[in-house]
Amino acid sequence: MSIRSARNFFREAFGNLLKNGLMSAASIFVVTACLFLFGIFLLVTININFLGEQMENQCQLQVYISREASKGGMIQGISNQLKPLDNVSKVEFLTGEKMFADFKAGLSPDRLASFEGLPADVIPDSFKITLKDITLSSETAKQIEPIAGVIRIENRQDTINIVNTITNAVHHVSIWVVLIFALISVFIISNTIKLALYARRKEINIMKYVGATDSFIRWPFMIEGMLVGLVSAVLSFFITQSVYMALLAAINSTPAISAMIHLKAFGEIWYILLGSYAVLGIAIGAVGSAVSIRKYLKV
Amino acid sequence: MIIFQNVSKVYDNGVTALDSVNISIEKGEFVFLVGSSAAGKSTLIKLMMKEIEPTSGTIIINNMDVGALRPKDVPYFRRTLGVVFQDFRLLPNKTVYENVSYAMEVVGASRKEIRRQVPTVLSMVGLAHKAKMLPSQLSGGEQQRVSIARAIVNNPAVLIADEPTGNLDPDTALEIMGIMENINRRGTTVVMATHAEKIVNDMQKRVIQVERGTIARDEKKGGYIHVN
Repeated sequence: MSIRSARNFFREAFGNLLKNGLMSAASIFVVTACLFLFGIFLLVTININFLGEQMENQCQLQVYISREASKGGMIQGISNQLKPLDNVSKVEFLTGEKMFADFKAGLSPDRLASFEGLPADVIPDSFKITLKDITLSSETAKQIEPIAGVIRIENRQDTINIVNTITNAVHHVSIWVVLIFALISVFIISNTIKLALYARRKEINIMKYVGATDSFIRWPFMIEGMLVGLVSAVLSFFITQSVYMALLAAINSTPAISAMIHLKAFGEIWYILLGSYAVLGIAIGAVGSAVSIRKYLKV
Repeated sequence: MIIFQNVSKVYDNGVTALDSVNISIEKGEFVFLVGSSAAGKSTLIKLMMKEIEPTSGTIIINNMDVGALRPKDVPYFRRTLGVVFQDFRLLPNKTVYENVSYAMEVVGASRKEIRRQVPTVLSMVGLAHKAKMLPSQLSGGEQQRVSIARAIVNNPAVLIADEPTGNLDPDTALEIMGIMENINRRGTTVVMATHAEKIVNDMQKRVIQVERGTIARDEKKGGYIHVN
């Protein structure tokens, strides 16, 4: 395609977009709606992954040591053996007294009574270990077990497994949902474009009679489809932004909910959303046009 | 040069539109295709434009074997023809100038060539002053003149016209025929399918009469004869 042809095709596509205003508006409306639905799912996926990351970060090993080890000055020695392990990213020492005090601070007065009289060191000292890869927690626990002074390892493998299952499920579902949304969008858009093409079938017919090649006819329609996709992408982006910001504001204004749910800030995800919308919108517009126009080129 | 050698066309519904037709039209001729409705005139025109394929036989137009053309070569073949239809078939959203210049853009003509050639053909058909108007702002005769301008703007060797005066009043039809004759005088072969008895009788050009899918008459200087 020469520069002059490309310029002509763009001029033709822009002109047609404006001249066929009602049909263009209908196509943009449909694509915007599809992209918006896709965007909602994308945001859900991003935030579930984010939730998974948050939970993963909270998954640690709790390594309890014996009282003898605490009193016998072995704390530093154990810490020195834990830190070099491959899967360990952070080691934090917690005294049993402090853990017990923190535990009691979270209790209501009536429940607190049942813990009165217990010695301050009822809970042994421990190390809180943050792991690099939670899926390797069992292996890491096995490496820690033989260390002298270690009496018990609290491995939250169940929680880890649940988080893994949810994250994997979300990943699988997202692939399918994205595919299904893309297919539905192409189907709806190709039908909308077919309507637009039906209205302009005479035009295509005339082009064929004056000797236009198929690609000469196809390009302006494809560019028009891509422009519809791009305009829809920008519209969907602003609609999604408004809805997401409103949701964030609603969550933040309710402390009970904001304490439980942390969503990604819009500033962290806008480019993913805009990029996905633009790529999907342009691809859907181009594919939809190319598929729809085939029938009308057989003259 | 247009040659039809033993050309037959049987449609999918079993109707035989043409049966072993032989025609030879020399370069620069003016030929009327006449005949009653459903005689096979439109089929002949469609075959010339490669809109449909013959069931058997050979068609040679402008030294090209039309039946042997690959799909990707068809647009280039059509550029050697100019086509005028009864219903004008103009692009409604384009101005008179754009309707004509579009046919040049399609063949990749330069902007300079377009700027030179389009006003020339619009003058030839007497519409230079209406270049900026849309087809909807023109009369039927004027729309047909735009359609003719579009058909000749690329200097085709052959001009095919399918009932070009069918939608026009007699006076306007005569104007159109004047333009067609002018084009023919410049060396373009003109093949025109028509029912316009008076035009055929007045012009005394070659007449090929098609009836029931066969050539019933081929006269060098003929008039219109009704066949019952």
